[in-house]
Amino acid sequence: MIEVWIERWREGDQTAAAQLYDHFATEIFRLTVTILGNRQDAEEVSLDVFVYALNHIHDFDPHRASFRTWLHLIAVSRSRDRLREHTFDQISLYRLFEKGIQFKSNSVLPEVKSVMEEKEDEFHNLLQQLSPKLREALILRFWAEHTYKDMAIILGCPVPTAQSRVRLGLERLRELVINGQNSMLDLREMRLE
Amino acid sequence: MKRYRTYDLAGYVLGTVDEEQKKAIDSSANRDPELANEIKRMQREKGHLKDHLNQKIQAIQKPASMDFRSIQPRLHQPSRSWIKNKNIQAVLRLGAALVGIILIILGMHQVSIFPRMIQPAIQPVASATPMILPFLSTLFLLLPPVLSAYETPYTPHSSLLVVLLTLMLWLGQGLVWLFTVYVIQEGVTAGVFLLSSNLDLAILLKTISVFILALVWLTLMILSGEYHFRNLGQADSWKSFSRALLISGIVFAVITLMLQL
Repeated sequence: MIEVWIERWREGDQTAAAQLYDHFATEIFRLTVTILGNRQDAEEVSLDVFVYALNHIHDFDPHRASFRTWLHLIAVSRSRDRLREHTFDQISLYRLFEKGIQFKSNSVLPEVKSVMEEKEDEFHNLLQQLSPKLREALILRFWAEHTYKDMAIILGCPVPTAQSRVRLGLERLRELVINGQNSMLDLREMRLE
Repeated sequence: MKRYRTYDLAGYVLGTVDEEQKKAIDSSANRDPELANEIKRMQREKGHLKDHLNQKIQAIQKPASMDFRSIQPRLHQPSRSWIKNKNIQAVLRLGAALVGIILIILGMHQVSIFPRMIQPAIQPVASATPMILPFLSTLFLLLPPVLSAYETPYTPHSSLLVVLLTLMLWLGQGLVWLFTVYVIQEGVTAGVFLLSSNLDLAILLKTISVFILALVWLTLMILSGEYHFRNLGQADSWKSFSRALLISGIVFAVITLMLQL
């Protein structure tokens, strides 16, 4: 079905573009909101993902990866761009001249942090405590259920690096849970000796 | 169970160990209940975290405002342009790398780098080293990795073209570094000669600096070769090429400006 929509959109059928959008929009929004931790950013990024993907549909090569993997590749790439933009936003020109450049030592952005503080969802907060690279790896492996090979394509890294990120991400997540920073998950019965 | 580290078991549970190791762990788990329990415990733990992750992400709903109509005005009729073809772009990048290599070789020929390395002669760097060709070379060599590393999103080209491009960039980068070695040793020689007016000392220091820099060059070539082989076609590899060539380009540009002044 997806292949048919792609082919029809390549021929200029807007209904097919709408079908592709409707089929993947929620999934892409979920992916970006989990990476970015901010619904407003995620909405903008998700829309950009579809505009890019649909306008560059001829760049999609089904022999290299599925359309879903390709969309996830674009989504992760655009989300990273957005996170990078926020990092640059933190360098204040005023501070540069008045007090010198001040970089945030914490990777969590202020706006993300405020949203996190408002949320009651502890697990979501916990995910945001992971570095973006580890967060991406966990989401792609466990939620999107990509193979490590597809993950390597999406993350732009070798397969062993993708594997290491999943492992590190899981270990870090478990540490956060076990160290009592989160009470929602009861892993006490599963704690390592 | 003591024969296995937690690391291996985590890899087993996450499906990252190779087939041979998997069989070895399966076989040991069949004989060792303690090991089997540990694997089950880790699998439960992974499953628990995975279930929570999925449950929370699946609960996220996209905003009602995010419908197809919101992107419709930004869509245009998709067209297949030859210039956008990934393989044609890769061939153009190969061409840029080739031009870069030719320019650096011409630059080396212009300063007669090889005979001068064998038969050192004292000559101030300012009059002996035209930098414009090496500088242009770094610009051409920079184009392919910069375009590949920072295109959004990065999409891989044909693997053969990626191998060829990486090889050419590695070779070009090596030649640029070789020219940098030449510039440094010429600078050392000229500086020592100008300060001390001692020709023997200048030649001795030139010989020593060439020896040390040659070792550094060789080490960098081996290390970078291994790095690019491991990260073939990845953004990190292109970024590494970009950074290395950018530094050389800045060095050449600064020297070119100094020579103009």
